[in-house]
Amino acid sequence: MPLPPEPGEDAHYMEQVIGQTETALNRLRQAKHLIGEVRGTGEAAQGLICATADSSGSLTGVDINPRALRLSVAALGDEITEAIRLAQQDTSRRTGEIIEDAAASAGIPQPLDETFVRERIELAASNMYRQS
Amino acid sequence: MFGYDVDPSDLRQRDIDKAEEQLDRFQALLAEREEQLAEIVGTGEGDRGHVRATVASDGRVIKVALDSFAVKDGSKALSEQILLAVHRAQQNAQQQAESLLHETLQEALPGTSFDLAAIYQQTRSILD
Repeated sequence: MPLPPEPGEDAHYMEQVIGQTETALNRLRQAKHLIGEVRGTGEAAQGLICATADSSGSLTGVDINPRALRLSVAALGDEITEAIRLAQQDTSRRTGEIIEDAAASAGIPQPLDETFVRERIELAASNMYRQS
Repeated sequence: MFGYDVDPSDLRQRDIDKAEEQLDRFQALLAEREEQLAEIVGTGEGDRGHVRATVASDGRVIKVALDSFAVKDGSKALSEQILLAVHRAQQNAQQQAESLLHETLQEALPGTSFDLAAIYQQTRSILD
């Protein structure tokens, strides 16, 4: 959105910025809600072990088929680790996709910087000079 | 926020310079501590000590190790012990990371007190 060329259009520009910001915030709120609902899953030992993780990567469940207990203790530990690792990766991937989509569509307006303020001060000074 | 009082209605160049200087110092320290953060390993055990979990600072599980007694009570009991061990390891890693961050903040901005829990809560509620 181009900056307003003269002070008379500032109010209209501000209204547009507020509107755009509200839209962007709504999109980000929606993304936050979607992220909260993300659940990642991971399987190992030919599906005998299944792990689930929530959006923060916290482990929410490990389902172990009793047949998996036939594995050696070391192998069982490795398979459990793998299932959890895959569940956390799945969560991370899903969350990343939501964040990417939100960042691409949010369209947060550029903040007014010191250039804008300087231009306005120079304009006011120049107007005062002309009037004097 | 930057450890000294600034009057917003009377912001002077020296205030901005001081804030910039503190920010530079903090960023340099943060970069230095990033390596230490990556080296954090959280550990946790199930109730009976037959399941042990290790996780990275971001909560990623590095390893779940069992001893032969871990499987004696069946798969459901084992699942519960794994959940406990991993959650405890994640809590441990988080405590270590917070402690490192707290230390870094104290070093960067001496004499300033921080309520990390409040900052965390505030950040989480930005879009509420």
